[in-house]
Amino acid sequence: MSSVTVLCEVAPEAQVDPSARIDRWCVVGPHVCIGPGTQLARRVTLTGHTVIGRDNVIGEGSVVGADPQDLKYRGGLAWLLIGDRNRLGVNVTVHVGTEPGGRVTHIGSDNEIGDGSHVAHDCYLADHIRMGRKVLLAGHIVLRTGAVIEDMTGIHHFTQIGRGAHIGPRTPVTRDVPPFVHYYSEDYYWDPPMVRGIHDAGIAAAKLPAAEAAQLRWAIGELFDSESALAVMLDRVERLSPLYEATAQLCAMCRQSLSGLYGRYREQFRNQVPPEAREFLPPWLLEQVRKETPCR
Amino acid sequence: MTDISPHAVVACPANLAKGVTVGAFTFIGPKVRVGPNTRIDNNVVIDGDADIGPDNHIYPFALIGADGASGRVCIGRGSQIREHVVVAAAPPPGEPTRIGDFTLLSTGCYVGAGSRVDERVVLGTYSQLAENTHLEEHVWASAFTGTERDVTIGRYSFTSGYAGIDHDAPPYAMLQGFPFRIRGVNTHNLKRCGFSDESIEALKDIFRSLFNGAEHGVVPGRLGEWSSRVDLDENQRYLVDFLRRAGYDGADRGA
Repeated sequence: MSSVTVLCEVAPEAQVDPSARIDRWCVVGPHVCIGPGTQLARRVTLTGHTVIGRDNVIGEGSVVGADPQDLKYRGGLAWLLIGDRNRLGVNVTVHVGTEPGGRVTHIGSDNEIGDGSHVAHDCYLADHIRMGRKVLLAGHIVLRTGAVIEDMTGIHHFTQIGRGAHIGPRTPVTRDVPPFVHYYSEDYYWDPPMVRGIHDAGIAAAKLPAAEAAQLRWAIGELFDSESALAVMLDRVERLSPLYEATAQLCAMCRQSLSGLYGRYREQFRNQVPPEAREFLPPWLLEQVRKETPCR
Repeated sequence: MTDISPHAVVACPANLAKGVTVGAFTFIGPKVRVGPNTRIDNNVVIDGDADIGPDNHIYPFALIGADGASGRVCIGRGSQIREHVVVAAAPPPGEPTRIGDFTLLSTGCYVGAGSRVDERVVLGTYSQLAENTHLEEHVWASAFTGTERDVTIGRYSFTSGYAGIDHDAPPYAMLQGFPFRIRGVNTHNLKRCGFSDESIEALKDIFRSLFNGAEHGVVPGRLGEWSSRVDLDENQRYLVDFLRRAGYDGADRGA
């Protein structure tokens, strides 16, 4: 029997696992599915077509699955998918996807989303991500595994943040951030944010073999400490043999960013189902998305 | 027919028009008037002397009419007031806090007491408007924008993320940083709002003349030259008049 306090409003159509716990003054909409062991603190609102996995903790006053703020959204069918063991802080807001952006917002597993943070429409969050307080993800953003984002950082639409990257507090991020780097601005009003070093904790968390980690550190130094153009240095790094996977991913992401509009590779996926849908979404949802969004 | 959740509290004699829906755990104070087809989600608080027009959508945890039951708030029609937005009420005898038609107040915004947000303004996530701020129509403020008290942002302007608006900001402009600097004409927004290429070029001419080379404010003497011309189009005239009102031609630059 799920623990549901009397003073809350759970739609009879909602699918709530018997082991889920719903505290006082929560509101759960009819298209919500809550997995086993998930806990909703007081005054949580779950709405929209939202599927939540197991053992998540959703903080007080959070609103999960509301309509996106995107002015192009016309009220079409859209989903929010949340994996397992995530911790959402107090007053977090997460929105469903939009029709032009692929209709799905996805949060993986084992993530921490800090108090007051906002995950907007069509974002794809992988696993083991740590977000500080009042972090703003505008729409269509991809956060790769192990990314760390400090307080009050705002990330621009269509940006991708690499695996294990660290973004400092109050950083206005408008370009793709490569994996395993520190990225911040010294003075957030006038100094443009840029790569400021190697995120050793991210490399350690990724548990890379020693040789691969050493090559990655060398490559980050070559690419971002050099006075030569990034494209020139990429040619040099890519000629390494053997080229380990982490270094190859770093180079590939830098190349993608160089090819993208304003340093954002994902700009080219405006008005289409993004490639991350195939990577992150379960087959049943991918099928639904394809049915609702004909290829353009 | 109104649709009020049994868990909502609507104080008598609040006036809710036809088609209004009120979600669970929402509180609506006695001096509140809500126009037809406005949707008020759960956990919203609306108090004070609040006049809310038709077809608005107020999302969970919005707080309208904060700061006392006697304060006044007026909201137009067709606006979206998102989660965790706070609209502070203005105590009498001053003007009420006003939100115009078809505005979007994004998640976590704060609109200070006595502020005026004109129609079709988009206020980005976590933007904070201090008391008596005035946003003219079609202003687009990006996330984390903050304003000081008593400033005006001119119509069709755009503020970049984290911008701090510490004095009156001209219309049609792109504004960045703190203290803000003018980065040019807000071409993207103007095109979207149907401005002709000729109008935009005319604005670029006057912007280049007034702001290029000026560290703050306008190039000395240029505003007087432009205001004495008789061949200005409507937008150029509006810009010149705005800058003169805001004191850009003298030492007193803005509020």
